[in-house]
Order: sequence, then structure tokens, then C-alpha cells
Amino acid sequence: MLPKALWKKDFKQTKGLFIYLGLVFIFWFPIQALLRIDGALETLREEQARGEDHHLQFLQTSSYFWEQLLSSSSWLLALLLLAVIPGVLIGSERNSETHHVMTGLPFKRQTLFISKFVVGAVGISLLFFFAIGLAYIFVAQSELSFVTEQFSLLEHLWLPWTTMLAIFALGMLMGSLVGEMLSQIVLTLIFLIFPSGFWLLVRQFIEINNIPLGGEQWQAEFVGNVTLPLILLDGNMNGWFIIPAVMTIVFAVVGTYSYASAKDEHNGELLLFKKLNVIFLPGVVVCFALLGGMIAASIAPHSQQEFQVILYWIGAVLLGSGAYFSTRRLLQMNRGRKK
Amino acid sequence: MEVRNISKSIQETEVLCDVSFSIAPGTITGIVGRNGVGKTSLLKTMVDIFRPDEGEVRVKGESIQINPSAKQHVIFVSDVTEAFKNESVDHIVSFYREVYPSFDHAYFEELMARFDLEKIQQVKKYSKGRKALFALILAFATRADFVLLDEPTDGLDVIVKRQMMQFMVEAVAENDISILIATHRLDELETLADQIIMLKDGQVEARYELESVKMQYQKMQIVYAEQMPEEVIEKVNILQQSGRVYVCFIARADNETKQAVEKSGPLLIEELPMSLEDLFIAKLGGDRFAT
Amino acid sequence: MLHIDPKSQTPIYEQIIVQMKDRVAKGVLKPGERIPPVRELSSQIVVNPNTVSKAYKELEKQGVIVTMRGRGTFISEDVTAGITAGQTEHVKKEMSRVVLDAYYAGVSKEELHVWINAFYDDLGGWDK
Repeated sequence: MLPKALWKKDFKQTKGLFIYLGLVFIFWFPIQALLRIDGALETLREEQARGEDHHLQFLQTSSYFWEQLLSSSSWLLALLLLAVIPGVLIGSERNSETHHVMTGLPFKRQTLFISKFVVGAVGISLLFFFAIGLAYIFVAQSELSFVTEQFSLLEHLWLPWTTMLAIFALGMLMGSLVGEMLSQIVLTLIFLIFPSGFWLLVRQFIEINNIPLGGEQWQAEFVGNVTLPLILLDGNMNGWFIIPAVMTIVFAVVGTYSYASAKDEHNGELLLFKKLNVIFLPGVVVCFALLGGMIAASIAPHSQQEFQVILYWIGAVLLGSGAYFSTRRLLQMNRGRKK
Repeated sequence: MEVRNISKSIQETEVLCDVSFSIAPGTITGIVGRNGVGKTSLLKTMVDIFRPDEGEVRVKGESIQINPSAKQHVIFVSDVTEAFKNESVDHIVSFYREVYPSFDHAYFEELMARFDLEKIQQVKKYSKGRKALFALILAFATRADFVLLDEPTDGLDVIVKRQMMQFMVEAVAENDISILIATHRLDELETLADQIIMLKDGQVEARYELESVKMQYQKMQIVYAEQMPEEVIEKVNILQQSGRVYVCFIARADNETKQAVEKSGPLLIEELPMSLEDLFIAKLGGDRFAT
Repeated sequence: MLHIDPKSQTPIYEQIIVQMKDRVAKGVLKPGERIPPVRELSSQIVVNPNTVSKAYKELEKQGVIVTMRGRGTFISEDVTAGITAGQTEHVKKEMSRVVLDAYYAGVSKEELHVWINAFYDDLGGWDK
């Protein structure tokens, strides 16, 4: 049985968000491209009037134009939508009775998940290719057409595309672990910045407490290379272009597996797998303690080291214990709801 | 369709414990039990919405846990009609047509006309009863062999309820489908069900062929000059007591108890009409009635 | 046309049998008359079709009704011929129980006779 019915249903569910994402992409790529072409041509004309050609050479020899285009501020909105689409595909169904109706149908759970994944991934890809293709055509048709020579398929097409898919895939993975839409979206956003965020917290902890542990450059680089929003923003991968694609595949495979094996009677609760509580609770407490320490320590002037350490620990204990109690309440959320 | 040794815990509580029974083609089965006893969980496990910790459900010899496409023959109608609430009738129908190859569109139209249900643009605009009715029509139109209904007549007015029950009876007679009804409305099952499965504490407390259950038990009214002697109280199942009048439940074959009652010298022994509800109270009413 | 009392001691299929026979005996249903098929009757009285079917089978066995493939179910043309020796025995047994009950209830033999005659007069139609 072809899951055509599922595709249609999943598409219907996300249609609205695809329209928003399409608008964001169109503003991000073709419209921004037009604006930037105008701006660049203006600068070039001014430069020409002065008899110089620095900027012209710069544009001819670097991918500056494309990097500027890709990292324009629209990416944040796109990122948010990429995290919300999985929320609508999975979380919203868990919030209502729909998930139960769907799992009662004669489909494998894997099929349900893959259908959602395919609909989301194909939709995102088509919109992205369309928008960036349009931007490329606009540039190629303009007086600035020479910058198309600097367009790198790897850096400016493959990398942003796979990064967006990886962000979406992370959202889907969260949907397979979390029992509720809002939690799913929030956790997706948290885990998107988690590698760099956690790294920063740990570095601060080490520095303020004067622990003799040096951070190595390659570590920082690695952390940056697996923090998806940074890849999207910056794209400097030092050749590791395969990372987002690998992440996409890993998230998809793990997501399919956990979606299929999740106990759906926990829908509405924070975590579907109770075993994860064991990691989740201490994890959240540690992170918030580190965050609390960092914030508190920043109040003290840099010169007073001892005072900083004391403040750090007060902040850590306060926010850590706060996190402990609120997370425990969160984990109890909707428990015992009528099944 | 066969439920084999299903056990299921939800949040560390065992909701279903080694539940086994089977449903023959062309029969109506009632699942009864007090609120929160696991009726809905059982139904949801039967279509693998809830995954059993142990055991399996077989449809036409195939385990639905292993091969979910066997669920083509089973449809579950929830008592919550929230899903698809923003969809139009036509959309939902086209979805179900694609999911269930056996979906009978002509039959669907016929049922919609019969129950006077108009095709609206958003299902949520139906009244509560009509939503339930629509879900039932949709389920039967899939021509699934096994239809599992959770509190199907909730929210239906008496006239529609009767129509619905008549329709269910016809569907069973005509198409040899099987219906499973989970309900606390025992009066409705009384004339409908072939077998009744009683759940208590997540276990099958008893299974009755409805026709034979009345042969098995009798409801007696016993009046004493004083009080019912202790040794008799221990033996009978007391449904009700007001003053010196006792209404009890006695297995028809239980001659020992009957003799004990007679020997205790009651003023009056009289058989009363018995309903399924009496049996339900006697069996599931709580410890007070345990024998 | 039939009235089913779910609370009665008598199993539903037996109620159907008794009432059908009663209708035939009273001439409400005439030999050769078509009666509703299982599906229709079960729908009318909202009773499980298997129960109705069981009753019909029993009625057929007793010769009260006949089912003709593709044509429907009818009251037997010679409905009395179907009454077997076994059933006569059953009636006799039931009667002895009634007489016993009547004895304890203080109903006299004569009174019982009057009743029996009256019941017989009630039965219309073919069996006078």
C-alpha cells in the first residue's frame, strides 16, 4: 500500500508553514540578491568615479557576495520555521487525538515517520532550490553576472541545503522523543545551539575556577562545525562539508527508530522514554547551574577573582536548584491525563 | 480476531494483565467494566495504538504487532472525536478511501443519507452526537471485518441511538462483520451481545455467553423475620438490603447455598427478573459483594 | 411485532420462539405467511442477529417455520405436523409443574379447567 494518503495529509498539515518558509526564502535569496546587486553596482560606480577598483577585484576574487547573501538576517526566521515544521508534523498530532488515530491505521509506525520526513524534507528542499536558483538567475542576468563564477556548489548550495535538512531532521528526532509540540520546538532550538552553548559554559567554568585545562583549537573548531545555526550563518567548515549531511542521516535513522518504539500513551508528557529522565534531569540541572554561575560571575569585576568564584557558585546553586525543581515539574506534566 | 496474553503497564501501573479472548466473525462482543478499568486501553492495544508489553493481537492469523497491514481489517472508533476536526467530510472520506482499499463509497453515501447527516466543510461543526455518528459511519464504510467501538452511543439521543443499534445489528447480520463494544451502558448490550467480557483490575474477570448467563444465575428476594443468619450471608451475594429484605444473587447450580437459604427459615423466597446490570454489580461492585 | 424483555428470566431466543408460536397459535400469523428474515427482525427488535438466527433454527426444527433459499422465511403450511412426540412430552412436564404450583397456590382443579378452556378458546384460526 502506497502511503500516498499519508503524504497528502502531512502536506496539508504543513502547507501553511511551507508558504511562510517560501516567503522567507524568497526574501532571503532573490529579493536580497536584487537589493545587493543594486548596492554592489552603486559601490562599483562610486569606485569607478574615483578611479579605483578595489571592490571590483574583491568581488571578482572572493565569494563575498554569496556569503553576505547567505548570512543575511532572514536565516534566523528560516531556522525558526525549520524547527516549527517538525513540531506541526509530529508534536501537534501528539497534542491531539490525531496521533492515536494515525497509529491505529494499517501502517507501520516507520512508514508514518518516513512519510512526514519525506514531505518536510522535499518541501524544504524544493523551496530552497527554487529561491536560491532564482537568486542565481537574477545575478546572472545583471551587470554583476561575473560574481556567479565565485558561486561554489559545495559551499553555497550543498552546505546550506544539508544544514537546513539537518535542522529539520533534529526537529523530527525531537518529535520522536518528546510528547508535546511546544516542548518539541523548544528542545529543538536548545539542542541546535547545544554544542557551542555547552562548550561556552564549560570554558567559563574552567576559566573562572582557574582549572588548569587548556582548550585546544581543534576542539573549538569541532564544536563550531556541529553547531548547525553557526554553519548556516558562517559556512566556514574547513572542508568538513559532509557533517550536516551525516547529521541529517543519523537524526533520520534514530528518529525513525525511536518514533516506532516510543510508548504513545505518554503523549502530552515531556519525554516519551522514561529512561531519558535519568539523563535529562541531571543534564538540565548541570547546564543551568553552569549558566547561573556564568551570569552571576559576570557581575563581579574581572580584577576580583575570588569574589568572582564565590558569585559563580552562588549563581550555580541558585539556578541549578531552580532548574531541578522546575524540570521535575515539567517531567510530571500531563501525567495521569486521561488516556 | 484473537487477543493473546496481552499485558500492558502505563506509568508503572499494570493496566492490562494477561488478557486473552477471541472474537468470532459475525458476532457482537461487549467489553464491560467500571470506569478506568482499562477498556479503552484494551481497545487501543487491539489496534496497536498502545503497544503491549507482552502478548499479541492476531487478525486472520496475522499478528498486527508484526505486520500492521493486517489492521486493514480492523477499525477502532475512539470516543474522542477530536482528530480531523478541521477537515471537510469529503477530505476525510478521500483519506479513508486511500487507506482502506475496501472502503465502500456507495455504502458511505447510503449511510449518510440514512442518518440524515449532511456533508459539511468542517467536521467540528457537527454536534457531539453527530460527530460520534459520523465516526461510526466512516468506520462501517471501510467494510473492515472487525469494528471496535469505544462508548459508541455516548452523546447520541435515544432516537439516533436506536437507529444506530439497529444499523449495527443489520451490519452484523448482512455482512458477517464483528463488532466489539466497550461500554458501561449495560442495558444496551443486553439484547445485542453474543458474549460479554468483564474486566476487573485489568484482568478478564469473567466471560459470558449472554444467552447462557441467565441460566447460570438467579436473582432472589429473601425476607426474614429477623436478620439473615451469618452463615447464609457468607454464602450468598447480596446486591441490596433494606431492613429485613435481602436481594441476592445465587448461581443456579449452587444447591448448597440454596439449601442453606431454605434451612435458615426465611419468610419469603422469590425470584426476581435479572438484568445484566445486576450481574455487573454482583461481579464488579467491589469487595463488599465479593464472595 | 415481537416484544422482547431483556430483564426476563427467559433467554431472548426462547422469548422469540414462544412469541412466534403464540402468534401462530392465535392466528396472527397464518400458515404460508412470510415472516421477516433474520436481518430484518433483529433490526426491528434490536437483538443480536445470531440470537434471532438461533431462534429461527429452533423454530424450523420444530416445524413452525420453513426457510426457502432465496425466497425467504415462511410459517410452515402444516405447522401442527411439526409438533413432535418430544414436544408433547415437554408440554406434559410443564403442565405437571403448573399443576403443582396451582396446588400450592390454592387454585382448585375446577378453576384450572376453566382457565385451560378459556386459553384454548383464545387461540383462533386453524386449530379448533
